[in-house]
Amino acid sequence: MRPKRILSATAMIMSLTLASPALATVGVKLKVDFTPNRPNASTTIHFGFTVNTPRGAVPSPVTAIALQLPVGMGLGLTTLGEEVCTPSRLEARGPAGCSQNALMGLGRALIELPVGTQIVRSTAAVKIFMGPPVRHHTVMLFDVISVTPVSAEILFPGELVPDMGGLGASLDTLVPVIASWPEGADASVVRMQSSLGPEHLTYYRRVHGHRVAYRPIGMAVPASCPRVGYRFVIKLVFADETSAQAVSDVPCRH
Amino acid sequence: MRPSRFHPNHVTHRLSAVSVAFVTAGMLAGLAPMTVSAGEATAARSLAVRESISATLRSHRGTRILNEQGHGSGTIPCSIVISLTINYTQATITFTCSASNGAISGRGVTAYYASGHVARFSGAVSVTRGSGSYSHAGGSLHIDGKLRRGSYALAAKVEGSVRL
Repeated sequence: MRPKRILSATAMIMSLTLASPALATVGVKLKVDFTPNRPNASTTIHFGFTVNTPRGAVPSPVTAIALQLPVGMGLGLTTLGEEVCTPSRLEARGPAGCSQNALMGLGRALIELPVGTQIVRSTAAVKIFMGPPVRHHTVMLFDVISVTPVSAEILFPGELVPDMGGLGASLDTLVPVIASWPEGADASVVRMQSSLGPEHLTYYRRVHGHRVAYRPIGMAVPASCPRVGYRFVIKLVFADETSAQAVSDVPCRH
Repeated sequence: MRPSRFHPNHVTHRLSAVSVAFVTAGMLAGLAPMTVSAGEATAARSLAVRESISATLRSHRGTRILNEQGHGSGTIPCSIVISLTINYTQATITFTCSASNGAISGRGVTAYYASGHVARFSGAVSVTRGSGSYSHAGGSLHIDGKLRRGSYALAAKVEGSVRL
């Protein structure tokens, strides 16, 4: 399967913020956690969403995702994504074409494709890279690669845009359509779990001519925890112009 | 007999008129704005500022507040202290530039984003108070800067106009 071009960012992000599409019968669940979960600690954010459909049908493909991040974290001391990886480099050479120091997170995705009465499922690897900024916004590139039984690679940018008066932020991503074959249905990302942080990441630098490994600093757990915990909200928009939303509160552990 | 144009009284009136004209011209000349170059105070009392800032991390509070210290060069050579409170997409900046003849402080909220090993911030900051020669300072400046992620070394350019 060949991935289609990435859609216009402006048009799709407007669809997330303006008129409310009809709520789908499709639901979404969101689960977020921190490792470690201590005030001011450099942490890895583990987030995952699952699209639920009645009777297990393949949902309409997800075309946009907005993940609202809690107030109090931010980019202050984090060194995640010390290098930049460009979309053209990823498309031409894959993840190996980018510096290890551009990697910000790792994960997996489950892709479903209806074929007749059957559903073909494919597990894909997810890598998140620091991308070139867009409109003075930090950008994270999501590279999703599936090998078997369906070979596909989709690449989409997540743009960190202001939210809640600038104190919070939303990571807004546009997901390209994963076409199968002419007259065939499009595939759908039905589940994604990923990390954003230093866990399982190793960066390298040169010190006196020697290659030295080190771990980057992640975003920090806020110093103060709201009563409900650290709130994340996800909103998905689907190709049939419906949407679904879910909330996950990371509990305070101090 | 009517006084002629050349009657002494008429001359006196003419001299008086001329005297008033000279005095008036002198007063107007005193109030006229002078032509200025960058860095010189004008009669309207504003200062065109063009400054380069270089600072290093002195301390941080938690993971979002960076306290930087360094120097400014350009229109007002000074020691400078800058604090940045960083969210995801914004940085709140406060600064104090301490020169030999006074100090200027200010504050602003700027856009903030990361791009590899550099984070950039850009936006308007307002002059909020001053001391010494800048005790009545006010105005708006534009700051454009970058932080080296990891070391948090700061470099910035500031331009604008300060009312004195």
